[in-house]
Order: sequence, then C-alpha cells, then structure tokens
Amino acid sequence: MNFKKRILKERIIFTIISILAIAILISIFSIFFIIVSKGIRVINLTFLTSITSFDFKGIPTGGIGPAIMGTFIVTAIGLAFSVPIGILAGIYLSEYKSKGHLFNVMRMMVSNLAGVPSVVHGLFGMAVFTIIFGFGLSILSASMTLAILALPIIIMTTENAMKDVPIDLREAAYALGAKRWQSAFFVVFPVAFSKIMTGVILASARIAGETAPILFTGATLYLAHYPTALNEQFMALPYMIYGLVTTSMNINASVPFAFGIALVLVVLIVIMNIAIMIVRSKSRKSLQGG
Amino acid sequence: MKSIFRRLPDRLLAMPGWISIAIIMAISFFLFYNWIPLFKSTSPFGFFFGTLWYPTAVPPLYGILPLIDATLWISTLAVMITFPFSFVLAIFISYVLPKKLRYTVKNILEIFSSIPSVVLGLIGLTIVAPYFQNVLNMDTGQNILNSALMLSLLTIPLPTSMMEDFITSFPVDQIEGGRALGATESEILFKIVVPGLKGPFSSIAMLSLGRIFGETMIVLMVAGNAAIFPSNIFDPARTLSATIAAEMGETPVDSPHFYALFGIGAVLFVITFVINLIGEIIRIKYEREMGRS
Repeated sequence: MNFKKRILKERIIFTIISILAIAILISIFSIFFIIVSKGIRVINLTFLTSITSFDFKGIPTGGIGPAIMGTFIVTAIGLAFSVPIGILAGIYLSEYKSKGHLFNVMRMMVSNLAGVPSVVHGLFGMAVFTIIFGFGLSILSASMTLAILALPIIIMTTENAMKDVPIDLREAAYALGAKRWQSAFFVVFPVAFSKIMTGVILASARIAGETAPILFTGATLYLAHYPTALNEQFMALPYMIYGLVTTSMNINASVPFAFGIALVLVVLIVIMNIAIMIVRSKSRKSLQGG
Repeated sequence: MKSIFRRLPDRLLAMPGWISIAIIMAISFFLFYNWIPLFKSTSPFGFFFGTLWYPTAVPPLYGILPLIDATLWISTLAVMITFPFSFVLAIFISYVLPKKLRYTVKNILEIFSSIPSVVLGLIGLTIVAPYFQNVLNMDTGQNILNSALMLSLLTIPLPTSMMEDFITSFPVDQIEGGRALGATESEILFKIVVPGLKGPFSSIAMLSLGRIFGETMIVLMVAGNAAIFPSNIFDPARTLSATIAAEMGETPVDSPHFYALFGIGAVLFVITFVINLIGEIIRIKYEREMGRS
C-alpha cells in the first residue's frame, strides 16, 4: 500500500512537471510562430533592399535596406575591435593562469563585465566615445560601445576553448623547446580555433540585436540613404522596431512593418546559431575521431 | 637586455588580459564622474529618497525612490516566475524527455535566448498588452505583470540549460546510493540531487536576477512608463533602466537631468555588480568544495 502510494506520488509529480514544462515550450514556440506568421506578410525583395520612407499619414513604405546595412556595418566594426583583443585576453587567461590571486580578480572582472546592463554600456559609450573622444553620434561611437559589450563573451569562450585542449599538446610543444607563447599561438590556438569562432558568432548575434547601447551613441530612426561614412548617424534594425511601435506618427500602421524587421532579425540569429551548432558538432566529431 | 626580449611576448600578451579590469574601472569612473555634479543642485538624500521623479518640472525633482521600487517589483516578480519554471523545464529535459529530443530542445532554447529583447518587447506591446486590456479587462495592458512575463520568457533558457547541466552531471554514486535504499526517482531528485545542488542553483538565481535587473528594452516598451509607486502587479511602472533609455536621448549634455540619469546608471551598475559578485563568490566556493571532496 505504502509503496503504491509512493509510486502514485511519483507519477503525479512528473505529470505536473511535464505539463508546466510543455506549457513553457509551447509559449516559446508560439513566439517563433507569431514572428514568422506576422513577418512573412510584409517581406519581399523591395522590403529588404529599398530605402524607408513615410507617407503623409505616417505609414511606413518602402523597405529597410539602410537599417540592414547599418546593423551589418556596426556589428562588423564592433567585431573588428573586440575580436583581436578578446581572443588575446582569452589566450592569456587560459595559458598563463598559474599566477595566483590577481588572476581570479581578472576572471571575475570579465564575468562582471558580461553582467553590466546594456543601457549602462550605452551611458559609458556616450560619455567616452561621443563626448570625450568627440566622435559624436556616429557609427564609430556605436560600434566601439558594442565592441565593449562583445568583449567578455569572446574572452570567456576563447578561454574555455583553449582550456579544453588536452595538456599533452602543450607538454609536447614544451618538450620540443617551444616557449609558452609559442605553444599558445602555434599549437593550442589552431586546435581551439573552431570553438573560438562559435564565441565570435555568438557575440555578433548578441550585438546585432542590442538596442539600448546604440540609443544614445548614434542610431537614428530615419535616414534617407544608405550609410556612407563612419562619422554619420545610422539606422539599425532593433532600434527601428522600437521606434516604429513607440514614437512613429501612425503606430497601428507601423506594427506589420515592425514584425517584418523582427522576422529579419530572428532569421539572422537562427542562421548564426545553426552555424554555431554545425561548428560544434564538427569539432565534437573530430575529437572523437582523433 | 636579452631577458627583456625573451619575456616580451609574455608581457605583450598580458596587456589585453588587463583590459577587462581597465574597462570596468573606466565604466565606474565615468558613471560617477558624470553623477557627482548633480549634488550641486540636489542633495544625496533628495536623490536616493525623494519620492518624485519630475525631471522637467520647475524646479526639477530627481527622486529615484519610485524607480527603485518599480525595479524591485518587476525583477522580483520576474525571478519568481523564471526560477521555478526554469527548474521545472530543466527536470523535464533531463528526466522526462527521451535522449534524442534533449539536444533538439536545448538547441531551440539556445536560439530563443539569443532573440533580441526588443522583439519580445514588440510582442508584449502589440499582442500581450491588448489581450490583457480587452480580454482580461485590466486598466492597462502595459503593466508590471506583462513586463515580468516577457522578461521571464527571455531569461528562462539560460538558467534552464545551466541547471540541466548540473542535474545531468550530478555524481552517479550518490544517485545509485539512493536507488539502493529503494528511493523513487522523484525522491532521489528532491532529497538528494536538489539539496546537493543548492550552491550552483543559488548562483544561477543571482545570475538571472542580474540579467533581469538591468534589462532595458522590454520594460521600456511594456511596463507602461509611469514613474509612480505601483500598488499591485496590474499597475504600470517605470524601472531605473527604462528611465535612462527613455530620457537620455532628449537631455542636453551637462545639465542636472543628464547628471541625474548618470546617477541612475551608477546605481544600476553598482547593484548589478554586487548581484553578480555574490553569484560568482557562491560559484567559486561551491567549485572549491567539490574539488576537495
């Protein structure tokens, strides 16, 4: 009897857990579904390539070409700043770790930097890049702000990727007379490279979708042409979504447009994530094979 | 001379390593640097404990207490939703789902967690808010509950996959010890695995709290932007982060309002820093204990 009761209790607990979990999974799927079903209606080639304009009723027409371009440029420049520094810092953290207390502080600062709210990054970028450095509201300020945001992600994935490389490889390098930095760059880094790339893709997906850091460092809601210079303001996909549904003249007419942009962003991010998964499964297979 | 050259690559490599410390220091410096001039016109007491945030009134009032209150309401509610649901989802993935589906579901969660927050804000604003208002007859659909729900949806994937990792890598000998004593799976789970994972779980909770606390776009779009003291979860509210995002664009540089917004940024930075630090310390402590045993 007692045993039966316990079995019954077990069943009830797992049933409740399953119901709740499936409810969350359904809501997650329904968000994907909403974005796709609402976004697909407005997407066509002109939407993706032509310039945005608003008619006299405030209804957005045309496309989001400048915003796509702006997001790409800002993300690319942001990565150009953060990838070299981030990878070097990650290599340092993983290969030179036996140096005591300061190292824990350094690592703690990296994970704390990852936890800084993005709007605070925006404030910092505004104070330093737009005002003190005098870059003004520009592509340059925004991409440097985003670079700082991407930095901890790249550092942490590089560090973990380097740590996962078997110690034998380093010892073999030392045995051949390599110095520490030589083993790090010529032996360990090539092995860890594909995993480091997943970190870079992850960071670019993250900064491409950020809105708060570019709010006051250079994004603008409306630009009549494609971006041409680094010291100009730019349009960006995430900021355009926000602008269309909160500040535009005709919000109801702007909502479908905003969902179209949301779909473009989500598709970009899904592609990046699939790339990460492919890289990961390849490196898993190569480790098993070798 | 020769030894300097030999050590040169190592020294050079150390420089990027220091950069994260330098950036953290620069961030805190510039937040405070742009905050301090505020106290020429507003007392610290009036800033921290003032109950009115009217930056454009004459004379302007920069009391951040209602903003802190709203932030606490929203983040508490969001954590109260996020944590139990992540736990349930983690158990579901590791215990109930067949192994083949496990990776698929985890991958989908990972993709979902990198959806930009502005997209969830869009859904909260254009789909959930009208539903709350028209179908559930709330006074306004843009309220604390709506933003907490959207924040939780955004946050859930990360703690879920971290918890799932800890649950599946729990020491097998302890689980088998439980089985040998005749415990059922759920008894093993709640009396052996969960108590054993108290440390990591509390560090995960801190991590989610830190993320929720600083999240900006969702609360900016969905919480209703009213700088008042909310009395229940169906009231609109305005958080610290949303205030910065909403007002900084129109504020002239080096005005008291500008300084006050940097002050909010500094408060936000310090609070999230402390939350993350506590989480990190708990994690390191747990790792040491595991290493010893």
